[in-house]
Amino acid sequence: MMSTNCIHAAKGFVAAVLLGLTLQAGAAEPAHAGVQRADAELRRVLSYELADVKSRDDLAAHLRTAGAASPLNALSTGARERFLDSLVFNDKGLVEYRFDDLQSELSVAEAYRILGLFGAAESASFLREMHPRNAVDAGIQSFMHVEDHEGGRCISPGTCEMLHPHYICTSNC
Amino acid sequence: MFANLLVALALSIVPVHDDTTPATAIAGFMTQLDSIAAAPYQPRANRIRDWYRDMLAPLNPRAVADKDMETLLLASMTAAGLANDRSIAEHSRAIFDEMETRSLLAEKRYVDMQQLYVNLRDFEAARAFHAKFGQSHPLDPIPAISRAAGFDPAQRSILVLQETGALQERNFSAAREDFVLAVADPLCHFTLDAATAIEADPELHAYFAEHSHWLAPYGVRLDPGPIETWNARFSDYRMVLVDDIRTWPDIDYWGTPTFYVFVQGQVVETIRGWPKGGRADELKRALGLTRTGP
Repeated sequence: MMSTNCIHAAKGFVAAVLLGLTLQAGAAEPAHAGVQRADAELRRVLSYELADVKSRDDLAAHLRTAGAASPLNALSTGARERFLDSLVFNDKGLVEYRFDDLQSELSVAEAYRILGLFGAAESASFLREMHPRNAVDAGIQSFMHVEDHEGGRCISPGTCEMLHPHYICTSNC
Repeated sequence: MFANLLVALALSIVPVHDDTTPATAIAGFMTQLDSIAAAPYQPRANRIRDWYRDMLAPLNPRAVADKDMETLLLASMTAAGLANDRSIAEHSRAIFDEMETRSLLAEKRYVDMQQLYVNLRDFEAARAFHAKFGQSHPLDPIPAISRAAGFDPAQRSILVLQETGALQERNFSAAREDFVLAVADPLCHFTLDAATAIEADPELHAYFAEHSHWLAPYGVRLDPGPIETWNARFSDYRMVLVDDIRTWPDIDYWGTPTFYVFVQGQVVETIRGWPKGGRADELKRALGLTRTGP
């Protein structure tokens, strides 16, 4: 459960993000487009900011404590290993990951739960391309709006290279 | 100590593919690929070509187990794209065809295979692929490509979007003026942040509106929609696509965004990325726009 301090910190963070995005939108974009982008951006930033796993240490703690309940267990052993090996973090959280095994082995909901650990669930465009197995899968696909860079890797801060078909470069890059 | 160094050196040049199965060869190749993911373009391409020749090219797709085919295809397509190598792409296609025969292909791989041909600017192969699979899979159409009068394929080349949605190959002269080349992707969040910030800064905007060229690298789709949208939104920073990447030997990094400052035809400074907070001050300094006194 989120502590009171965390909630205050998150509220402050949201206010800062909103102010920054409003100024940015007001400076250079038509108001409507700016609001849309600000809304989508806020969701994305918040999702990453409030993620449970934002570092290798967080990941180790998750693997220790979640045990059999971890959504990562939906992957086969080899796929889990490849996925975990591919994760790269910076001070903001996840910056890139392999998604090919998530796409080939899991349902939309299973992949969404895994990416949710890292705050990357709503921005993973490949989830929208997967075949929905049930109403939950279809529901998840219907409310995703923001896309990280499918086919990209984070090759330096704030720089994606789009020649890597099985990777995603996140907006934390 | 010297003997130990010799042993270490000898070990480091032992071919990795010795006594390996396809699965371990593929995993080994991917590890090598990861180790140089952020390296400059040309040396990285050369290493990948060498590694591929030693580790994966010997694999006959027909002899590879179903469970290893997907990772082999991904490794091959990634290598072909990063090394800009059509012979590797031929191997990718053989793997792809074998997977099709065995009904192992995910829908996305049809898109990836066509995009590989596009990335290699092998439009003939892209068209043939589209003719074969475009009816049954959601593939982008391949636009018509024309050549401007006097076009010289050995010189720096770009693809310019026409009003019809077709693309025209043109030469680009880097010597005609001092300028900034912005390697950019119309769908890249960081590129958009950079353009928005530059546009909002009077000094940078004044410079960029007159002296910047925005160039989309390999990996960007040929779908005219995103570039048209970009050009409408940033009419002072109109975007074109790189044509033959080999004609841009001084561009080390094709990640987006990357800014190359050209003076008298030479790259004198490179500014990579647009992280939170941007790089406006670095750009101004590189362009001599920073005030030095009160």
